[in-house]
Order: sequence, then C-alpha cells, then structure tokens
Amino acid sequence: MLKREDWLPLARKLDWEFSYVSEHDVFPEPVSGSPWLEHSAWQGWDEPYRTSYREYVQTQHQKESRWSAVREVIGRVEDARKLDRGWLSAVKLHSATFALAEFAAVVGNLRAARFGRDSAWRIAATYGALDELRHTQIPLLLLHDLVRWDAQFDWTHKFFHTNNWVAIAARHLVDELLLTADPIEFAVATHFVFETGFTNLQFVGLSALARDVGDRVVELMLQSIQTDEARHAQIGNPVLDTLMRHDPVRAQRLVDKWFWRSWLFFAVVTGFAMDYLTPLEHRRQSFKEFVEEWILAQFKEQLLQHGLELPWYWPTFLRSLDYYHHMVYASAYTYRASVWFDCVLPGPAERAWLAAKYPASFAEFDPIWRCVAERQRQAGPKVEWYTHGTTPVTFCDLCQLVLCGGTPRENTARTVVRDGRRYIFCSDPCQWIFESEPERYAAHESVVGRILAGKAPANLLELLRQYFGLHQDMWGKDAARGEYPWLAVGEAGAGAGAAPGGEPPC
Amino acid sequence: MLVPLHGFVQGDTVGLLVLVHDTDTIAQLARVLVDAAAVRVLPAPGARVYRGGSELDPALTVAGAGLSALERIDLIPEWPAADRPADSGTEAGG
Repeated sequence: MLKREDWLPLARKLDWEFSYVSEHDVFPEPVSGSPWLEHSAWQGWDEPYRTSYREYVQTQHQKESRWSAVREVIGRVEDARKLDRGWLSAVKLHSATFALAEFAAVVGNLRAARFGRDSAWRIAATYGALDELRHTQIPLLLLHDLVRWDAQFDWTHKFFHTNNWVAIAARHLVDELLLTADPIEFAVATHFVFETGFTNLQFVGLSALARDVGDRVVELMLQSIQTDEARHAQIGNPVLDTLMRHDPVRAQRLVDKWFWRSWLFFAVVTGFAMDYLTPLEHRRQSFKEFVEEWILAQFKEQLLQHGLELPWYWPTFLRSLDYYHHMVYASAYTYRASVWFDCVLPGPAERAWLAAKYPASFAEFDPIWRCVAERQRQAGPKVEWYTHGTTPVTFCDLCQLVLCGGTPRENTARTVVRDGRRYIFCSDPCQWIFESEPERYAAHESVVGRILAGKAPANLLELLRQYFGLHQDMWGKDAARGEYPWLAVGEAGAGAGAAPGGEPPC
Repeated sequence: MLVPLHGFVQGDTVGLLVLVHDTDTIAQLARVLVDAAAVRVLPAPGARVYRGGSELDPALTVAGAGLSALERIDLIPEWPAADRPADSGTEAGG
C-alpha cells in the first residue's frame, strides 16, 4: 500500500494541459480573477495543511461528535436561562450576523473550487465550502432551540432576509465579499484579510469570553469553527504571494479596501460584546487591547512579510480603535428598538473601567452616558422611550452603517456630489473605496435614500415595524429593563465620583 | 417644501436625518437638531449652526441660507462659560 507521502502530492496536483479548449476558455478572467495568468504562474501554489479528503472527514467527524455531545447535555433552554442577559445579547448579535454570512461563504469557496487556478487551491476551497456549510448549520441548530424561549434568537436565521438597517449593511459587505468576488479577490479579501486578520479576533476572543461567563456550548462552538477557519484561511497566503509577484498594486488595493470594510463590521460585532455586553466581572481585556494583540502585533507582521505596506489610512484606523465602536454603541443603545438584541446601559463601574481602558477617548463618551443614565433614572424602570431617539439616523453610502466616524467632538462624515446625486460617507477610507469603483456602488440606496424615495416609512416606529421587520416583543430593549441598582442610589452613591470635565448635570 | 439634511451635533455620536421646511429659520432648524440629540447630548441654552465651516445666520430661512437636500450641517451647543463641558469646543465641524 502506498504511503501517504507517496500519493498525496499527486492527488493534490491534478492539473493538465488542455487540448480541446484553451486555458482561457476553462478559466475565463471575469470569473477566475485578475490578473489572468498562465497556469505556470500558479503551479507552485501550496498551503501547509495538505489535507486529504479522508483526513478531512475524520477530523470533522470528531469535531462534530465533541460539540454535539456537549450541546445535548447543556445546550437546552434551561441552561441558557442561567446566562447573563447582556452576554446573550452578544450571542444574538454574533449569530445573526454570521450564520448566513457563512452560507454566503460557501458560494465564494465553491467558485474557487471550480475557478481557482491550481488543483491544490481548488481542493482546499472545496474543504472551505464544506467548512462554511457546517458553520451555518451549527448556530442555526443551536439557537433554534432557544427561539421558543426568546424570539430574538429567531434573528439568527431571519436577519439576512430582512431590511433591518444592520442587515442592509451586512448584505452590502457580504454580497460583495462572498457572493460576487472572483477567486483571487475572494482569497485575499476573505481568507487573508477577513479570516487571518479578523476571524481570530472574533472566534478566539469571543470563545474566551464565553468560557468566562460560563457559556460552555458557545465556547465550544466558536472553538470548533475557529479550527476550520485556521485551515482554510491558509488559502489566502499563496494567492497573495502570486498576486504580489504579478500585480502588487492590485494586491495592496485589495488589502486596503477589505481591511477597512472588515474592520468596521468586526468593531461593531466584537467591540459591543467585549466592552459593553459582557458583564464587567468577566472582562479580561478591552476590545482595543485584543485588537492590539491580534491585529497590531500579528496581522501587521504578516502584511509586512508579504511585502505589503500598511493600509494608507493606518493612522485613521489606529484612532478609530479608541472611538468607533463606542460611537456606534452609544448610538445603538439610544436606538435599540431598531435592532434585535438588548443593550446594556453602562453604569459608574463599567464607565470607570472604560475610562481606564480608553484614557484617550472615553472622557468624550462619559457625558453622553451620564445624560442617558439620568434620563433613565427620571423615567424609572421599564420605561424605554425616554432614553430612545425618535429622529431617524443617517447612513454611510459605502458601508451602510450609521454615520459614527470620528469623535463626538468632530464627526468625520463628508458629502460628495456625483452625477447630480449627493452621497455621504462616514470616513476617508469609505469615500476612497466608493470612488475607486463608483460603478459598483453608486446605484445602491441607503436607508435614507429609501425613506426619501417613499420605499420606507420616515416615521421611526413605522420604519421599525414595516421595514426593519421588528415588533415590540422582539425589538431591542434595555437588558435590565432599566432596573440597575446604581440608578437607585445615584451616581455618587455608586462611586462614580465627580463628573469628568465638570459637565453640567443632565 | 421639505428639505432633508444630515445633521451633526457636537458631542453626539451619530448623524441625524432632519426634515425641515425651506421656510423654517436656521434657529428653528437648530431647535429640531437639539431636540433630536437630546437623549445623548444635554440641550444647551444656545447653539450655532454651520455649513462647511461657515456659520449660518439664525434669522435666515433654510432656503435663504441656500441649504439643499442632504447637505451636512453642524450644530455646536453654546454653554455659559461657567457651565461649559470640558470637551466642548467652539470651532465648526464639517
């Protein structure tokens, strides 16, 4: 019987010269990607796992068995009931934005499984497609059981099928990243930037938090998924290497574009979970500290190893570490009925922790939270509307997220008129991405565009009900329904001390 | 005629879609924006409105100021010196 090392290289490298059709016909540039290169340019393609199909099936079977066993024992409603409400909101946010995005990644991987330019690449992409199908099914299965207890979990499946503003933003990202990108852009954007750069941040960070809050099922789910991601993310490196040899300008542009788009998305999903939704006693690192460890110390090194430069907007990115997710969270809290998860009002202890973790920026957010908290105190428990906005917010014409760029002192939104239409962008990088490929983005309508065109209601309540697919039973509320012990005793009594900056009382 | 504007209040975290009549004054526009942000930003006794770094006369109408649909406008709250929050600046945004 042949040894593994005798047959595997042949099995992985099953490319041949075409005689009845041309290589161009088999791998047309529009679906195979640019630059179009002869196969000889790709034949050195390799990745470190070199898994056979038999090994893949065996490994995945073991992972499934392990996770399923834990789920059967502690994955029931009564187990979820014991968990912190804020943490469950983090689970709802994460699972809704990722479950069907993983399904879209099946499509992206299958395109590479057919149109990737080397057989070893196509095999790795086939495994990637199977991985992503698994990553879709696991959260759908796990959280479906909880829907009968809490309807917000239904958004795990429902989210991408709605016109909720977060879903519009997520589709704008996912459609381009996972459904329409050619295999070269897909490999750089999804495998190298999104997965190598950010999935670690997402899955490693959140699984550690899940362990700390006692959510063993979610911890194992995320760990199990992360091991798949670590393997198929390796597709990105050899594609990027070849791209760097033949078209380094395109390589740099793709990295710059997708790093920013990925960053905004992860800052919301992971930043909320780490700095606001996880109970204070279980937080070990701030979101910024985690990004510094996983992105600034590791991914940055990989960029340089590939011969890439840091994205041109790096100073803007570094500054956004101190501001962006805080800007969005304060906005989300005060528009929580527009989302499908509950939000936590940070009290004096949480704000003191945030002030210590974000000394450069949190003094600008503290007055906002004091204002919201005072209104909540005046309103009393179970009153949502007095700490909720009623005026529609506005959205970036590239990322489709709320206009939360910059700082409370100076929002970085800017408008541009193009072909008679006025566009607005949250930041320099979003404007740059749009203007680099305006034909790709110009026709998309933001929520504001839909309201002004009469396609969506301008009245916020009707917008939530008719257009965002939310109703009172499932839309986001304060996670404690306003019943915080520190509100009852007042800020000073809860140890908040003097108001930073001496701002007037709210 | 209704004019939709992207409004930003200094000290706030998000842009707001404000709908005003072109016959409304800039002072009325300021009040709409202050109210819209009041959940997060304590309403100040006064406020100045800017477009592209230039202050708009509160007595002008929206049409008179030349504001058109989906322009960015900025509102800077004005506090008496004794009450001014440490972080509130006075320069125009945008």
